[in-house]
Amino acid sequence: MKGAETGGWRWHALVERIEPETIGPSVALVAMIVTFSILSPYFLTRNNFTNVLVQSAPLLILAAGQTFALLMGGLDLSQGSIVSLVSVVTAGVIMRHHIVLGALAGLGAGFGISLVNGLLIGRARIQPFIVTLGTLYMAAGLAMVYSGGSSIFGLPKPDEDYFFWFGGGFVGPIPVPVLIAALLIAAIYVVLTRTRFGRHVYAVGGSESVAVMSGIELGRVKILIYLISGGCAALAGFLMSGRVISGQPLLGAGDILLQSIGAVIIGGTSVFGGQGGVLRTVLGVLVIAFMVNGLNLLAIDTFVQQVIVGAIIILSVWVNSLRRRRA
Amino acid sequence: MTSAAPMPPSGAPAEVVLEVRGLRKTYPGVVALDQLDFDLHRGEVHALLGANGAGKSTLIKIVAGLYRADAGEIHIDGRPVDLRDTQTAQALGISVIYQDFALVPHLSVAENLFLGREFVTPLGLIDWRRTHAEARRLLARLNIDIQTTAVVSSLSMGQRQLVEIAKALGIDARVLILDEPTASLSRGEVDTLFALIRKLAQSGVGIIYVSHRLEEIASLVNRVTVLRDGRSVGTYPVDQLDRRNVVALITGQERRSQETSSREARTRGQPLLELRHLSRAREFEDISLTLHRGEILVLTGLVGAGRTELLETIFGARRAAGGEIRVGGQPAKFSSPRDAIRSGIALLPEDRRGHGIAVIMPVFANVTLASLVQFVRLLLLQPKRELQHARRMISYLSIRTPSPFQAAGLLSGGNQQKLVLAKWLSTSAEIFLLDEPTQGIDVGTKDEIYRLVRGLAAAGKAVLVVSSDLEEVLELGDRIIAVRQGRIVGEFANNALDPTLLVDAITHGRAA
Repeated sequence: MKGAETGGWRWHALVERIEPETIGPSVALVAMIVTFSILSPYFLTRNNFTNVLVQSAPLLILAAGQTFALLMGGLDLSQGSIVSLVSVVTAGVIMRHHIVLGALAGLGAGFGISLVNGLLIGRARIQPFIVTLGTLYMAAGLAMVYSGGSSIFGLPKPDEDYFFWFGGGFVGPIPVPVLIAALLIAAIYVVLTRTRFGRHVYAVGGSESVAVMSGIELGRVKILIYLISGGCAALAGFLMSGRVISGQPLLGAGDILLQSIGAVIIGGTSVFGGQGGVLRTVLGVLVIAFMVNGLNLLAIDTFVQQVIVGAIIILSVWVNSLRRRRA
Repeated sequence: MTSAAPMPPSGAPAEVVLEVRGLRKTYPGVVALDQLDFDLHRGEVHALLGANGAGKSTLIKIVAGLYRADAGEIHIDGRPVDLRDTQTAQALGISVIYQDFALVPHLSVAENLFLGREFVTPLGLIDWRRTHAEARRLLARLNIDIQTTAVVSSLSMGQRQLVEIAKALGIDARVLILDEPTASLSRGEVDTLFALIRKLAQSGVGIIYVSHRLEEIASLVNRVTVLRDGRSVGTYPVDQLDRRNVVALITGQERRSQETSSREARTRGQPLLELRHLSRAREFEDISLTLHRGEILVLTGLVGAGRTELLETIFGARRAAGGEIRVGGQPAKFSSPRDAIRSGIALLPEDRRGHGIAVIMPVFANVTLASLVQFVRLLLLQPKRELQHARRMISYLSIRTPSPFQAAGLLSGGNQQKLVLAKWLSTSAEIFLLDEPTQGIDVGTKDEIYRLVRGLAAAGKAVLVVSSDLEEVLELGDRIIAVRQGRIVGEFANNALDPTLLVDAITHGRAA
């Protein structure tokens, strides 16, 4: 008993002890790294690893936010469109005014969409899937309207350099986006495991009616969840735009949304809500990032890569459900 | 009491329809069944008794094909069978009615009755006329008065149970298992059910009847098997048992004499909760009552009498249409349970798994769910203190769990109920609303819960209990209010009260 007390009970032990759900993606990650190291001489280099981390930083941020929506038993489909909207608004305002104003306006636009999500889901009680499907279209449309459908580039100096610093700069040896992602994930980890709000997220995902009957304000929890999810998307959009030093109306229109949801699921967070955590999501992002990188190095076609990512998403959920059935 | 007398063959050699030998099932850290033997005869009603966690549910779920045993054999009509899934079990004529309802809420009664074995036209479309005709026939045979087109979610808990039974009987069952079948039925519905069970037994069906209510056994059952800690402690003809030695078999010890003296010892304090002409359309009407500190007031009546709805209204989960609620003399307007909790009200809901505990959350998080604020320092939860508190509550209420990290849904029913109590005892609640607090709970745990409830009153809290269990009503209540069809029809001081008066008020609305 004494040993269990001291060994078993550090806090992260409480919400995310070494849980069987994480074994699958961990094994996959290790197996991939070993395989790619053997097949490609370039894979296991410091340069490549730095590259993978820099490229996956926006996805880490998006997926960390998405984790809240899935933990609640919901989904945030508007993340990709928020990335696009933040991109063009930020670049557009920098063009006419200043980087500070650009950042405020861009991130503000992203938070605006998130607030709409939150209010419709938390107050009007509409299904998250439907609300965020709607705002997916709306934000994507707004991005096109604002930019007139074309990229915004040729930003003034020195704003251009500041902007790039966020997406591609360094603090000492550490790339800025990686640093920001790491700090954000640490903060989210603390929120989920050590705050009342975090516990309420798990409770709402576990059982809404029990949460209400225990005095939890359902509406407030849901609004905050979608503010965080959308806020993360806004931040990711800002960093991604900085990296390309421009406003791109289709920046978030591609794979990134589905990768964000996929990473959370591959990491082992339950799509039914109530079980999972942000560290699992980090694992999920790494699986996707290293796989894409490794397949690129082996010169495997991007379309084939899509097939493989899809298969891994299904496989990871399947493995977990098999384990649950056996228990 | 461990020397289990072997069952002597009585009269004609009985035909064994279901035989279980050496069954073993373990979960991580728990042995649920160990070397279990059990047999069921054709045409008998066989009661399965045991405390929460004794292994009854596990046994049933293995026989139903839901779980697989680690070791042991199951024979049907003398042939060994492999019950690998529920379809296999059903095909062998094993039909189960679970405690947690297995109906699809948004489908109609008829659709539920024939779910998975729909009648189809030659074109492969559902034959609705035949479906409803068969459904009506089935319900009529069981004297159940429910429209076949009614959507299940619109039915009361009692009505749902009847539909569930009808569904199980729709399959040609040779072994019928009923898990705590009368928990939410009114007395009339229970009589209907019993008549039905007798008829089925006469037609040769072997029936396993799982129950906690000992008084039900005698009139219905032929034999009784008692489980304790995953083992059988013996099978007996029902006439060799009386209530006292059944309790001793279940708990492994003599039940303590009932604490009747504690009632007189308490004094009634200030009024804490007052209801004035409280009404809600088609649920309850003109309810006025006063609940005092140090008092246990019991509200009794048939299922569907509006009692659960009344408690949920007091708790802010429903809005009253008219009338007033006063807490501590001040008028209270609750727009959510959160407001009610802040005013010191706690509700132990009837639907334990749906409203009481979050089944996938760990035990410790359920304990602290309504009182997290007291473990926060500088915005952060203090895990050490939270866990310390949870452990204290677990040992105070003797909640049986391998660890505080165990998912709450894996606990047995009685321990889940204690967990809900632990959640509210962690808050600063002064008014406790208990809705059917011991429904589906074994006698041993029942006594513990009664002791806790009396302890609350003795500590100056006000307790309002809703119960349909007459024995419980008489055991707990200082005062008893009878409700019929949403109205108060009588109030009784529980002082040498004649139970027939109470039953009369509940069923016929005649006040004393």
